[in-house]
Amino acid sequence: MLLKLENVSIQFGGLKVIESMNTSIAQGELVGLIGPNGAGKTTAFNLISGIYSPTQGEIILEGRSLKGLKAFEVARQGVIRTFQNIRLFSTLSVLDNILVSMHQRCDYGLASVFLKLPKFFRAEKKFQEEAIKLLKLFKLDHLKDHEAGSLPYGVQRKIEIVRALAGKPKLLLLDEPAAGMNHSETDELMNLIERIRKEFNLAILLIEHDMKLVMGISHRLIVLDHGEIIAQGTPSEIQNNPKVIEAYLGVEETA
Amino acid sequence: MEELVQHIINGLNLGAIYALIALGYTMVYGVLQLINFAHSEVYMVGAFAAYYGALRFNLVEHPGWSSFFVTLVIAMVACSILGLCIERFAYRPMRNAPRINNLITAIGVSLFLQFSGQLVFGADPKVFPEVLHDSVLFSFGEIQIRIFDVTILGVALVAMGFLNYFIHKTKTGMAIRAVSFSFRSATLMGINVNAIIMITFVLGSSLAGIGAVLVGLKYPKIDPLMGMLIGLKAFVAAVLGGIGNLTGAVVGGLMMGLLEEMVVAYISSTYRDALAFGLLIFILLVKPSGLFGQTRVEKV
Amino acid sequence: MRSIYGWILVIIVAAAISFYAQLFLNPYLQQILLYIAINVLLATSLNLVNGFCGQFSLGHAGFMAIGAYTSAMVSLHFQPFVGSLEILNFPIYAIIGGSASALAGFFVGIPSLRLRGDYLAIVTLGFGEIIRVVLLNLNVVGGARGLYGLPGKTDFLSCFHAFFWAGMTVLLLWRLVHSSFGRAFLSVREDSIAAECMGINTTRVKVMAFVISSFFAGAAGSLFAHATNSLNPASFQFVKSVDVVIMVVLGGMGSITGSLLGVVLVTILPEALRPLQNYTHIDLRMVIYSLVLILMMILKPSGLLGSREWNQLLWWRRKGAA
Repeated sequence: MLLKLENVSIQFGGLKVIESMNTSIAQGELVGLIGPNGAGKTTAFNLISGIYSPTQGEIILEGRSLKGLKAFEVARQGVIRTFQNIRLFSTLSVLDNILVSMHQRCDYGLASVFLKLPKFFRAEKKFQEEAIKLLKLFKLDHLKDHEAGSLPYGVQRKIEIVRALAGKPKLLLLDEPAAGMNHSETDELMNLIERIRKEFNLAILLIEHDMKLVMGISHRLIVLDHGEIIAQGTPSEIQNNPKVIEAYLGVEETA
Repeated sequence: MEELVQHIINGLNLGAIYALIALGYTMVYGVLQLINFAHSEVYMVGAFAAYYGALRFNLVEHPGWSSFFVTLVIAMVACSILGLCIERFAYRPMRNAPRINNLITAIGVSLFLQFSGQLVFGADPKVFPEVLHDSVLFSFGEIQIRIFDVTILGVALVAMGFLNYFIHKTKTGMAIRAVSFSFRSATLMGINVNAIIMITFVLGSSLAGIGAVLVGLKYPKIDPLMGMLIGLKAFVAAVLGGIGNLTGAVVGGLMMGLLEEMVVAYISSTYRDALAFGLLIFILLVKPSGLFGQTRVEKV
Repeated sequence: MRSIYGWILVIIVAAAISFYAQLFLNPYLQQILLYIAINVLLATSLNLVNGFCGQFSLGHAGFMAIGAYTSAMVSLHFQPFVGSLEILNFPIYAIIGGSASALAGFFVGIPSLRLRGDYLAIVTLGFGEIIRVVLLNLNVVGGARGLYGLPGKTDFLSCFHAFFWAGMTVLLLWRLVHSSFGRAFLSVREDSIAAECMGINTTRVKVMAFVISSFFAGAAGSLFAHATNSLNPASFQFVKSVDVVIMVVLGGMGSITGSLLGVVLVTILPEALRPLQNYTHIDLRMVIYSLVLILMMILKPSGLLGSREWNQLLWWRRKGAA
């Protein structure tokens, strides 16, 4: 197992937002995390990516506990995320946004920077090429010098995914990657996600509201309601699960 | 032993003044998430308003309670007006700007008041008029309790009591708490956030005005740069108590005053001003949220 | 080879300015020129913290003071080079002064930079004041009288030394902000949570910027000590820190060339104000500075150049014309 959650709970003040969550994600698996608004999906992301630390339970990556690790250490262990409400470095260029993620792999020191030693040029060239290769994959390379914050919403979402990929994740956490996109854009994005999963041999955990989409792409679904996992299984199992229909689809219809 | 009691009385006096000013920092921080650097200059202007008011109305010739209260009201009104102006003309246009820009604006306002204060009031220190006579009220052996001691503590307690009532028992107070809790939700709930912020500035600035008059009584030398150091200490008091928390500001202020008095009495007066800074570093290292503050979880 | 060009440029510029100063400028103007060199170190290094990292330091005068006093004390007891090689002492003093400041920066930065930017403002403000008070009360460094008779001249070599430091600071900081570290600084400024989630150790990055910034402030202090031949705690008041902040904000936070512009404007402004001052007999400098700060923030918060550099402005114009 790549990632394991054992009895993970978190509470803020008296409010339990996630209640003993038990689940796991295998290498190369694409898992959908669904649930009505306020079910605790984003909180689960914040827990896994190390922004919050659980009040109880443990998160284990490749057999090692992530307990006590800060967010940047979790990222360096290979768990990298995107954000629901896009958090790009908006005044930096698209290319620089991507390159920030590669800083953790930066092998030159201050001396190389100040004296412009060959090591500096080698590493910078390597990073740039790698970043442009990733951008090409998403057909964004022509935008590399644009200010990230000035680009359309859908493009920014894609850049966030590229930025996350540049950190060489083992597990990629995507928080509503298709939000605000139209049908064809969404379809294209989903194909891309599937492609990068195969190409980079990634595990992906995906929060998504679009049911059709998430059912079509996920190998497995985790359904969260009121901070608890109410069902896990293949899309077809979930579709016919009465609990899920009651908790999730019911809410969806009245919404 | 008697010496210690005397130091405690002095320390509480000083602490009460720090607490009054710390409350202003904490309240503005609560609603705007901004270190209001200009708060210490509001306090300075309060002292000068009281000074000129007392001269204008010839209060020195009739020292007594009524003169004292008139001075107090003058300082409070002057501070409130200044506080409102600062909010309206410097901070409000910056409401949606990045935090660092707000901080720079606050520093700019603070400097502007300090240096235009030097132009208007003159850079030389002035002697605060004696609007109330001091004398020994009781004495137990060596310990003396003077009228000023009682006045300072009494006035500060009444002001804090009123603030506590206002914040916790009135509708406006509830609105202030709501804005502190969440600016956006408060707006959505139909609270007139601008009005609430203005009221907060009036309250905080008035407390600074009271503090200014009390300091004027006890240490009757005022100058345009007087706000900086006391402001820094009051801010540290607010951080010590947990910034944004009213009880914290009061407790922090009193602790700050007591500590300072003890350091001066038993260690050395050279380190008087170093204390606040050392304390600040210590709090930031050990418990940045302060004694009463909760660590807020930033929403991601 | 590319790594050499920058240094050659620095040497040429420093030499050109020094020649010009020696041949055409009177001692008064030479002095102002030296202050410009010192302010270049102060402003560009403060910009690293305030502009690139988005933190806010208000204590640059304190770090400058540490560098100045350390360098002065060392220079009174330690002169490895004598005679015509005497000039070679000064880079050593500057490096020692800078290192002392960097050390102080490390200990001030660690507690305050773990937290949000505005705590740094208060801590550094307090730090600057404490340094001044300590210097006032330390007899070894002359207390309020200060130190006198420090080595240092205003000849061609001294001028070259100062401008070499100024040029080197610009060059090194330029290289720094255009490296992976520079991008890490900017990411902290833009969104520290997102930066953290991309594997950036934000505390480490901030402390690093702060220590480097303190180093150059200390070196500037050393240059100052040997340019004026005397030191006094009154030179390192809070207003000195404010001067530097104004240079940075005016020029544009996050623009090194902007800081250079800020340095020139702020160093020359008091001289330009002199006629007005003679007429009114009051010191309007700080009143104007503070008004500029407020108005800048309300009207043009990005500063004169924004976060752009001169070369980008030129690029933009070329593109516009095409």
